Amino acid sequence: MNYPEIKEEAKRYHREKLNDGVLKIFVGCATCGISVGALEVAEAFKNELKKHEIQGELIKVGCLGICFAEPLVYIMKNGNPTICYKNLKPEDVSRIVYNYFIEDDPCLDLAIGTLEIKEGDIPYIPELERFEKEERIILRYAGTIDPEEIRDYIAMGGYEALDKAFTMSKEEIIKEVQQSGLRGLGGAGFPTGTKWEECFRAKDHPKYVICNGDEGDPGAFMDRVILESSPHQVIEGMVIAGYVLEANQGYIYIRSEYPLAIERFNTALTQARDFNLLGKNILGKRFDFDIKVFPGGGAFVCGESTALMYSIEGKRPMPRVRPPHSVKEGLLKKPTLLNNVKTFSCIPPILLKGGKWFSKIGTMNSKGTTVFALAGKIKDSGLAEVRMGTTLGEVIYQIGGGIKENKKLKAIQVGGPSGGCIPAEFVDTPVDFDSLKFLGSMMGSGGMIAVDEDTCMVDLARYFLAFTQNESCGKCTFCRIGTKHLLLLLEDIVKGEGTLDHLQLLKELSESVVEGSLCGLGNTAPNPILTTLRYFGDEYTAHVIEKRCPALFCRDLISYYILPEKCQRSCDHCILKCPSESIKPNEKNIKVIDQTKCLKCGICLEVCPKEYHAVIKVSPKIGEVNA
Amino acid sequence: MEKSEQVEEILGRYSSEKENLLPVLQEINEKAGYISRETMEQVAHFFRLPPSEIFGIVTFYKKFRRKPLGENPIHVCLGTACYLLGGKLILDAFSRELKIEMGDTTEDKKFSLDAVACFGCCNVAPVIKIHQQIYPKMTPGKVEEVIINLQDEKKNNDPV
Repeated sequence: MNYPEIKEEAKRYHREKLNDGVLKIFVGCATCGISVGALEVAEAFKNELKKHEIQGELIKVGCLGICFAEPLVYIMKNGNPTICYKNLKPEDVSRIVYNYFIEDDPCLDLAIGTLEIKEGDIPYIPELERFEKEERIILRYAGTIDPEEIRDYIAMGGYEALDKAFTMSKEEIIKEVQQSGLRGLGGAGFPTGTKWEECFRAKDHPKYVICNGDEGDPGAFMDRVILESSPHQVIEGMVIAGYVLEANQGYIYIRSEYPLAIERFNTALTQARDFNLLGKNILGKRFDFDIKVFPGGGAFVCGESTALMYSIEGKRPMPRVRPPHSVKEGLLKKPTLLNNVKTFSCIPPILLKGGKWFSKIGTMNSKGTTVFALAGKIKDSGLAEVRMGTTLGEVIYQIGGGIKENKKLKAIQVGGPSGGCIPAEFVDTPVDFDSLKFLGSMMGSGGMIAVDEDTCMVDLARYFLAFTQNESCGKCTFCRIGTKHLLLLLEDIVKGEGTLDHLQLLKELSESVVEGSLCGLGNTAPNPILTTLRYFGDEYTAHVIEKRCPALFCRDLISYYILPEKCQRSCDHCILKCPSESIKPNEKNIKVIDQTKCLKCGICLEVCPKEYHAVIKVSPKIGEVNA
Repeated sequence: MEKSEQVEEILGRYSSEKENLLPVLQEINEKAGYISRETMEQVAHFFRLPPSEIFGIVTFYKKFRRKPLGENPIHVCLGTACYLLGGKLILDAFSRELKIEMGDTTEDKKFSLDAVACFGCCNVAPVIKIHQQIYPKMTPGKVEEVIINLQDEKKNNDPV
């Protein structure tokens, strides 16, 4: 079959599927939805439909990116607009089935909005503030198509770019990519077109295409969502790259912590082969290309391209000196093109709409969009795809809905362990490769963690250092031993054993680690320290001089304390739950913590009923004498 | 050297190209729960590599365990979002209740405790994962209950 026939068939399938008059229930079933009970909700729908003998079809889709609203369900009922429901519990299902399916009352109190034109009081989802700020290119199909059904993707225009690519010369394709101004979205921001051209010009054969899906950055989950929600766009981008380079083999490296992503990607590969979009003589062209999934082993350094290639080769994944660059000598010493999941996802729209179209989006030096995983103390966590140049504040407040419990934003951590902490006063900074670098942070893979006043910046730096120190491959002395000493210094400080000399040493050693390391892991590992020292120096001095943790986080510098005036005498939740039996009532039946026995586990604070709110944290810690 | 049949069966399905080394180790780790010294030697023999090289690779990746997994492997997420929202307190609570350190297995082999970097479920942080189930929005106070439920589940499933 040629492409137009495939597309026609897929469109017919898609049209019939949606317009057969049967009730459709779409359930968001990416990891984020499943973890909060999406499968139970789907099961409840199935049972209720059966009970009332209603004909309906359950369709599992990916993630719309509004993860805070999961389990998310949207329902297409004949004659009504598609309504999207949020945070559904299995017990809400019987109500929707009865009230909406039978009685025609759509239970709008459970809904966020409609996916079609606004009607009555119900909001139209694309007009919600969050979506108005977003521009979806990479996430264009996330959550709206069935990731396990290739015809859904094709019906939306999928693989059309591949068909178009076959009519273009290889140079023309490269030119479009160059003209688009697309830069690698894995973090480093290297111009994609240049990379493609260099690999294209490399003389040696065979060549390889690798997609980097080793999202090892804690707190980032964009690649997972893309792979779970719309795997075909990545495949399409990779096949186009393979065609340009005349490569026959592609690999996608997915971290094994994402079993669902691996499973769905494999399903997608099988379907693409069935439709002759992968494998031998793709779409009747004399071009063979196939992709193999390679599950990663959970090593952060494998995100570095040369290490990733060694990992596929079965060697110990330690980065090597470049040059030679992997576009000349990569996997098995052959020319290899490696791009990130998001970068490959941008290729089909660039080919379809042209490089010029793409280059109009974004800023002078950073084109297109970028996807952030919003997490931490943010209200509406999830994914946000914004034009380059959108400000941090717009992302945090308009898309993320601000900070939980209406607390104050203290800092924004961008780029994970390699990034830096940007203080709240810089919320007007535009998000692009260069502006973030200027502030000492970096785009990184796209994790964006909002931090409020309850987070200790010193401990946050310690946390990231503990991560990078552990993940250092050990090749370079400064990274291997330097990060260890940085960590020891920070551990002293959070324990209250630091001195002013510690701070000086931290700064000097950080600079040496940056200089003395070969790959990005070591080069950027000190970023969290350098940025927190720069912007939150007063927190460091509070730890060192006053032995106090202003955020009340560092365990060795705080005490838990029960306010006598608030303690409810008849309640003994804290006593019952305290694992070290360190809470005893005094003669007035007011609870008192024995500070010498307290483990600082935080359970008393958790179980003290909200209306009393008697347990607090204090810093510096209460002396053992006056406990 | 005593050869494990399970490992032999897995090796039998692969060719001895080095590209297969990581997939083989992953399958063993998943099915046997860990990779013992003996297994490393067996794998080394199959790939015609020095056992030290296999050791080097097994110890490099976090995912590979060198001690058997408990019947209920508890994975506490310490990704950034989970950590900020109290993941460490949850890890400490498990460690205290089970009386084992991170990376260990209880004496009765019922539980093992590990920390992981991120499951990508940051929206419901802090989380833990046991078998394939994610427990959203954990607190230290819920830890005891999780352990008791797992013990009960076991009892209910045991043939009387």
